[in-house]
Amino acid sequence: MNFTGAFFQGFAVGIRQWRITAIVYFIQLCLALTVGMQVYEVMKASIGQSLEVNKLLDTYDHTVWMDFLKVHGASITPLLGELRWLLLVWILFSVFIDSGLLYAAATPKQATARSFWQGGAAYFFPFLKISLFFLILFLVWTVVLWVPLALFFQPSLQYFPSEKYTVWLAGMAGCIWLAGIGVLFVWSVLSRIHHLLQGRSVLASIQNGGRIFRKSKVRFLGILTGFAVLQVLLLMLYFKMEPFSSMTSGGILALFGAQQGFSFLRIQLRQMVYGGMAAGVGASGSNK
Amino acid sequence: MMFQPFRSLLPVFSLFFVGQMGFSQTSPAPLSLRPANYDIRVTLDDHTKSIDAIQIVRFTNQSPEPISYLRFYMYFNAFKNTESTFLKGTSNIFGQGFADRSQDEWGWINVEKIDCAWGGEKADLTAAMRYVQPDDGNKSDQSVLEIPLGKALLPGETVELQMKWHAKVPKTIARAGYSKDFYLFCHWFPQLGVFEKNNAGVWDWNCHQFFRQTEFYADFGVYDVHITTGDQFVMGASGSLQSEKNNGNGTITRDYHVEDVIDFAWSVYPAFTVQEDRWKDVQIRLLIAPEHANLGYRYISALKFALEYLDQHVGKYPYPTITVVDPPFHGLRSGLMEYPTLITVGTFYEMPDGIRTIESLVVHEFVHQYFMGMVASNEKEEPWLDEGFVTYFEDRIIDAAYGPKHSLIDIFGISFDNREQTRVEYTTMSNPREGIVARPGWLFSESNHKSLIYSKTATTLRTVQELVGEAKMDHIIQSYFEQWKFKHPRGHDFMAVLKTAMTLEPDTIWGQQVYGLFQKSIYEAVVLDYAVTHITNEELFAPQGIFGDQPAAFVYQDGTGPGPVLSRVEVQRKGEWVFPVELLVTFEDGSTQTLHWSGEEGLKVFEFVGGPKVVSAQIDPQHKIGLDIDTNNNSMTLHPQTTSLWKYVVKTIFAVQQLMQTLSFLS
Repeated sequence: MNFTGAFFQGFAVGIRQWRITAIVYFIQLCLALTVGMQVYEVMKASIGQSLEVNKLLDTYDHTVWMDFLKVHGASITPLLGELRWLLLVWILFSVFIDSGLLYAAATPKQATARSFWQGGAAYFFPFLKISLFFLILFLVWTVVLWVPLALFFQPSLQYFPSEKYTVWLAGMAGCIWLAGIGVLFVWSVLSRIHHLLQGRSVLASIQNGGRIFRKSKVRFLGILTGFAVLQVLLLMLYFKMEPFSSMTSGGILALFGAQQGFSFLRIQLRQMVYGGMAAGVGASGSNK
Repeated sequence: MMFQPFRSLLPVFSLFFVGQMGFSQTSPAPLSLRPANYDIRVTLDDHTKSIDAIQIVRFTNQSPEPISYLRFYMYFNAFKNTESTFLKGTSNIFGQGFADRSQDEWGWINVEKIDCAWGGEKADLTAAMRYVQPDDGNKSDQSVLEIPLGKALLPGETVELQMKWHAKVPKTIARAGYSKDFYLFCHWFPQLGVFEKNNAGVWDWNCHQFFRQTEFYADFGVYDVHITTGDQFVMGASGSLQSEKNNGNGTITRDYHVEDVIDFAWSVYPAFTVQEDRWKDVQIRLLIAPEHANLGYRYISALKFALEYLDQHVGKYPYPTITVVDPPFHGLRSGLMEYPTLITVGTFYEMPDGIRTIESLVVHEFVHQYFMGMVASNEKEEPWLDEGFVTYFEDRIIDAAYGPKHSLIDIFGISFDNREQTRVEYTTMSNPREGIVARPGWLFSESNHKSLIYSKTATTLRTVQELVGEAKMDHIIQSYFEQWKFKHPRGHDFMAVLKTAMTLEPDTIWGQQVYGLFQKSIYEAVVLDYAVTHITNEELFAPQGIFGDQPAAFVYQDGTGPGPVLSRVEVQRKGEWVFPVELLVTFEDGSTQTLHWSGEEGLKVFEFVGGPKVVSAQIDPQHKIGLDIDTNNNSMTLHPQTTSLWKYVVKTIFAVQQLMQTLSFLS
């Protein structure tokens, strides 16, 4: 299967497995709501009765925000601490969710909620090991690339005759870093798909994931890039639309709807990436 | 005694001497008294990063007291070693470490010979000169040079010194110096302090050592500066270019002339791109690093707007030129400073249009031409008089040019104006009571000097403007400018102008209160914070009992039916700063009532009986008092609009979702 075929296969998987996407979206929303509602409570308790709050309706208001943060900043601090833990737990939990998503992506028929949970439970621990392996690689890649550059950036501003070279260097480093992250991500997904399809050990899956990637790297990176571009376009569309949402109750509801649609689509795109990769793995003959 | 006084011959001699030294007097009428005049011939050696100069200083004693010695700033010596007063006790200046400087990167200045001509005689004063430390007694500090004259320079007399000196240019520090092949020469030559009456009423030299957090203070004069550099350099300098001569040996000599200024600065860099424009009779010359050249129009348009604005609201810009130097980024430590008719700015490669720091910086530095340049207050002892006034006008100009609420930042849905930013720099200080504003610059810390000197002063001036109106405020500033331009005012001089203006207010008590507000803000460390703390509406019992004067006409009321409403609005003064405020009370039928509260009590309850219920109350409803450190607590409503809160809730939810989704890629 060529890149286009795998790409459209991913689309088909995403659309077919929309129920699984909905489950993940719902879990994510519930967790985000816990933070959002606390923000509401803090703001209501601190400045909710002030007439100044009305200024926040149409646009950002520097004075209101800065006065709020100066006087009530301490009430935000526990929320930030909570968010930190929430995100940590989420990373762990998303291993489980990814297991379910990949399981659904590799399933030719429409997965049910039950099979999503079963898949998540069945593959959680092996996928956790794979995730940890790639997390370490991610950290190593990040440190290896950015630490020397970070040490060089400050002196480079003095070293080069113009700061534009530093900007270009930073931009180039960012692109290289992203490319590396892309490679690691694809390798990680392929390893998990291989494990899911072949039931081999974690180490063997990682090795085979790498082998599959090397064999068809253009195809897999193409799938990732294609869906990443779609995400970026979606994000741009969202930011273009956001200012047009009128700040009435109805307008905010519409904004919320658009945001949630975007969030749902992001998960859907992820599912599509997994679907495209799974199709690509099948075409690469991983079963051999 | 070294010299005989020839006071009667002084004018003739002076004219002769001035002519010999090439002081040109091109202005039809001097704008200042010109007590300190300079003719400097300087040569830059790019290879050794050093300069050699011969300068002639002509100083006239315009005081009623005899002067027996002169004092010169020798500020390059502040960068000579870590024991100077400027560098002692710190390893970092504006985020720049200097501990690892090589020998070539330190700077110093040394006067090699001083010849004095006075009353027709000449004398060598070289042996008599000595470094003094009038402020801290630090013997290692050589930032002030004292030259005893050997006899008293009587009132009205003029002395001419010819000084031969050599200076090693430091790697950029405190704006001065070189960064690769970019140079900025500021406080680069032996410059006279100001001989004036001090706070104790005694005539003396005001010539402080160089302290961190302080800038400059010098006297007015005429400068003729002849600068020889390599011919690869593009140059900008204070004043106007008079002539330019290629010496044929790879060097070029440029002659600059400027009158009625307190300082002279210049800059060279081979890669400068020059962009020129005009505003009326003023030639605008922008020397910009090539990588920033596409941003040059932003500097120029903001500068032209500022010229026009200040012309209308303050006074005329009297100089024929203004030069703007945008250094390369590696030389940014030379940026953001004001010198007469030359300012330095700074930006970054491809700075987005929505971040208007380019505009605010060039406007800020240009306004210094008025406050410090012309109204030459002491930047060291009373920095609020220039930085505060400049920030106030920077706010006004930027907000007028680019619109309120988004004049400074307008990007990614976040926007705010210059004035808001200035205010929050003060109100968000960790402790707004840290100290008074009216203090010498060296008594401030790095963390509070901008918040208090720049921002609190500007917010105070803005508050006064809101209270008295823009036209009245312009009148006050114009009076101050006209009275004190080309002089050296002190804080009490501005206070006198303000007091006079406020005395003329129809409501003299109000005038005194506004004056008092300014005085308290600048001379006391107190905080202004008013709050509406409670609103209650209580339905009282309906009248019950016998009513009427005559038993025959008694009316019995049984207490049924709606009773009158007692509404209470509780307001508090949370800070120690007392200032009368307005309180706007809105009732449920839409009617409003404006009350006045002196603020003298810490807490006051306003009661309303029998009318409609109170739905909201707001202190300072027109937001005049920017000095109030928390405006959110200035109002309270019983019918809060939570829609805006929900807006931020949905944004928070969305942000958390996106964060989670992005982090999923790590799993």
